[in-house]
Amino acid sequence: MIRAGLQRLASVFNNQGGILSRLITQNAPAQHQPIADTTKDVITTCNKLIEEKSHRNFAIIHLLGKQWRVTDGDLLVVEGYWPPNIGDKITLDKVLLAASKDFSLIGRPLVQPGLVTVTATIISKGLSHTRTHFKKKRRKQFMRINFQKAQQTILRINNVDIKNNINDAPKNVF
Amino acid sequence: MVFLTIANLIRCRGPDEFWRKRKIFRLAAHYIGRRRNCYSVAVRNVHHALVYATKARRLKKQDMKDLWDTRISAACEQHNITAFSMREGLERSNILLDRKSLSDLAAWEPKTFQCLAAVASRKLHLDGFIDGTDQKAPTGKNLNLDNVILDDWLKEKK
Repeated sequence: MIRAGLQRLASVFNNQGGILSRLITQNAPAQHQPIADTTKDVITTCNKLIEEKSHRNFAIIHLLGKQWRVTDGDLLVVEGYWPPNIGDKITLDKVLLAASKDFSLIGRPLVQPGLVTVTATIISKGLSHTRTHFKKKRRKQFMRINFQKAQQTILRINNVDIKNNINDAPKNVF
Repeated sequence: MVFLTIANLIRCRGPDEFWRKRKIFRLAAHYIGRRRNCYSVAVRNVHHALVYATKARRLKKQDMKDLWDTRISAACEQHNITAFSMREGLERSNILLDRKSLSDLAAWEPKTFQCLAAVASRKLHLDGFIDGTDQKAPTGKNLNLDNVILDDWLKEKK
């Protein structure tokens, strides 16, 4: 599952011109290596990058039927009825894709549970501005006006964190 | 005032003329010329504006969808893959990103998008899928599919 995103690193290996080339030129170039070795190399490099935490991660999460690209400190406005209350801390578990500067993890359709944690706090709950629903038909004496407000919840994304190493056995988080 | 019969109730004109007009004039406050000063013109324009605002809420969603499609197909063109086959390939390899997030990636995370394009085209290649869409003069770069080292799971059936 996780290997899906790693081909980008593989391309860095082969091109010898990518960002990582500095790190990797001492190793044998991947072109003549069997595939299994390349895969291993890519995974170890990725794990190293994860441990260093040198760059900010982003993730695409699935929330209330919509997909959002989030990163640390983002604000999300979720519209419609949603039970959580102000101050609740929640983790957004449906992560479709997580990535950093030099690698991306692509889920089929979700990345393995426990690998990426996206935590969020609910900041405010309220109503949207008033939307006017106005209908009129010409020459038919038909006119209707209604006003509607939707419930809105504002979320602050606290952090997007890649917890485990790639290809570790999934820890049973649920 | 007491209305004893319904007939009289129908004839009742509602709130005072001043308040009735002020409601409209307030909404027309930012218009220019007679549209804001003259009631009979203002009321027409305010009604039009409210109807447009109501309809536009749906149109906005359609417009966003068109914009996302444009962005996705432009980004796909760079990698010599049509937007249709990109969609098909991702669907087949069980990657369920929607238009919104794909276009987001296309605009802001082009490297991730490139991975997705490579995975999609590799999957279609393994499935023996032929894209019927005629691409007469491909302008993008061909993806190096040797880099996709995912044959194991791409060969899996869904």
